[in-house]
Amino acid sequence: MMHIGHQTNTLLLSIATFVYVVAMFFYLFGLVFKKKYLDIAGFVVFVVGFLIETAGLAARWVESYHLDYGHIPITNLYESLIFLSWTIALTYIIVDLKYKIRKLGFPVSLTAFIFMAYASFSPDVSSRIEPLVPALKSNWLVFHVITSFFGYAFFALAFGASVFYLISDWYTRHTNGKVLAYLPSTKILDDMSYKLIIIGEILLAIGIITGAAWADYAWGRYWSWDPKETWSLITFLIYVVYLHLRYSWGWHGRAAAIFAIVGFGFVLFTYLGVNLVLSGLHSYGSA
Amino acid sequence: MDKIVDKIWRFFSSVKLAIVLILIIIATAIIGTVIQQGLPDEMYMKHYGMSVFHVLNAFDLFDMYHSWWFELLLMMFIVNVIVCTWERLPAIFKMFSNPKLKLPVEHLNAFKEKATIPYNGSRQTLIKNLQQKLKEIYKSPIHDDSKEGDYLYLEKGRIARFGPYVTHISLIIIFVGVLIGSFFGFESYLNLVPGESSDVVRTLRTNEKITLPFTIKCNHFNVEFYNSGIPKAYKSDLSILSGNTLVARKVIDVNKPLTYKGITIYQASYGQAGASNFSLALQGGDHNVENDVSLNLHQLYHIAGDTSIEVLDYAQNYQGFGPTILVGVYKGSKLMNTGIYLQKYPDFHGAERVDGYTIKFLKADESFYTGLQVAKDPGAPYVAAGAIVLIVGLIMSFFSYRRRIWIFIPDSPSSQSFVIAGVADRNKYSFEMEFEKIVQEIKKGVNV
Repeated sequence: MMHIGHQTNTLLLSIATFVYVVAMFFYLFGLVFKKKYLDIAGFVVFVVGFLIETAGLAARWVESYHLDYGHIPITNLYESLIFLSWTIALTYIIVDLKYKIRKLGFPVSLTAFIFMAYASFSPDVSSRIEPLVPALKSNWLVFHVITSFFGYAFFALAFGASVFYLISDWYTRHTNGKVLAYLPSTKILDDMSYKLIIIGEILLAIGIITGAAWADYAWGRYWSWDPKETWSLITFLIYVVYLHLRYSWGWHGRAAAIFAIVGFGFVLFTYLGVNLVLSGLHSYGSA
Repeated sequence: MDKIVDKIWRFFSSVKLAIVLILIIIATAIIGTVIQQGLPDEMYMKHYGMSVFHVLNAFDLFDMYHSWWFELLLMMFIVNVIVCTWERLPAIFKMFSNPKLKLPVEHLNAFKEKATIPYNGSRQTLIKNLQQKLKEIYKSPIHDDSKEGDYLYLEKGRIARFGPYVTHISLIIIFVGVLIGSFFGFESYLNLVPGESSDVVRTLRTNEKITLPFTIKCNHFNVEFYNSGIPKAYKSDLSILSGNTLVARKVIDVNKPLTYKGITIYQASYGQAGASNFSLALQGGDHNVENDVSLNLHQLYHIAGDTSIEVLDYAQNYQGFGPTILVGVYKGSKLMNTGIYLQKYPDFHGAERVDGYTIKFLKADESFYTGLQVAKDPGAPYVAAGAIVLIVGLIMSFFSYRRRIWIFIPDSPSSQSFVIAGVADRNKYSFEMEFEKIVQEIKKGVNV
């Protein structure tokens, strides 16, 4: 039986960080040299990285029980960054298996790497397993964090698809209608970005609702205009505007892609900006 | 008069207004996350200066989510949603009870997804074959005929058309819940020291007194800490008394409240309750003896001659140095000197030896009060129901989409071909592929 040592989880997570970089380079070379086998190699390495990260998170979970704290590893800034990269990685793998959007692997592996590297190497982020304050001891924590983070992940992929859309669209317009062969067609990218946003929006809505339900159980008020709450609502509303522009005004293509990219800025601010810039409840307890 | 009502109605029935309102709500909501809300006025005055303070205060920016103008924005948005729903829903119902089975050929030809397919044999056989084939691969078509020829009509994903309305209605349900809560509910707090009881609570934002229909008594309160000093758990053992009769008793915990008669009591916080007991060690004097003394806050202790000491104040964590006491030294009744004593650093002391004695602060017996939140919200179930309907509406809207397909077989001896055309409300790209597949299947199916 493998003994789960004190550093097992951080070691595994560091290895996963490294593997994601390797995957990123395969994907990058795949884009540059337009060789299919490089994309496949990138995907295989990426999946390996994802599995190692999964093992790292699992080890961390087990280890928290050894420390007598016993909680799911999604409760401080370090764990949240790792978990976000994990949800983005898993979402990408699922979407790729269903829709064959392998080229998104480059921005996805880059993003997964950035979040993990920030978690591992930033002096501001402590990788210690910390005990839970009483307010966080609730089953709502699990539903709330998982739905919110998968929401973020889908928005992140929509962002990637939209960036690809703009690249592909730009190329076509500057080459008298030639098509960028190594990216999916603009039609597919537009449709994909839209569908990813829809799933992200539903997950974000569930995340907001589970958060409100939790607050109601803990304090008897489901909404208190805390900055994180307010920003998650703002992000939700941004994509509400996107969907209405799409349905009622037929916005699509370049305008929709730019909107989705700007929208992701709101997602990022809701996730990180609120905690780093503003003050409020969701402090990740990381002093 | 009617004209004005009509104008207002039309103003509120536009989707453009909805977009504008949402954008304004977003823009203003951001202000409240940048300016911290609900602090005491003095803090804003200090931070912004008087002139800026007055400007910001005039716009209620220190409690902007409850300001008249923000609530007006939200109210306008809800009216907008109600009017939009009211306006469009009947048309949707009508569309379903009376779908357009027939469309002129010019319309069909104007659709992006269309095909003309040649066939052999009689019209009757073709119609039968098509019905058969479509039932197999898509769904059973509705047959209708006119002077010009026969029509087959197919429709899928009708439920998606209702999705947006379900979503909008959910917002109205949530709004009703919020209104009920704000009229018939309250949010308040109550701090109790163990042994204490009260039936009067104070509201959170306005600090008004509310008398409860029962008395809350705190029997015990207990805080546990992790080694790092972070609180691990805090629990209050509460009794609910009606008059002098005990009607309920429960140990509440964070996330585990107690509900009685629609009023819920939450374990929200805790704090240091004034008086504590302190253990000090005094060393020195004529015989260099050491003796431990136990003192309450503000209890005078006579050392020697006319000198006595008193614990004036206590901090659980003074500037990061841990538990700390402030000790006053008296000559007779005159305060001569004060000194700080740290439990963790016994060698540091701000005061000189007191009449040849050194003082060590051994420990404090802390006593806490429990911070309870007492709330009643009869609107919450509506908000919860609305939230569930919201998710259902979103799923209805997005996991399907309505598309319609017409097949027109002209009744003319010269034409041995028919037209198939279709349109989707959304997901044009997915429909394009679906339509393509149907056309391929039909081509195979009718020309066996």
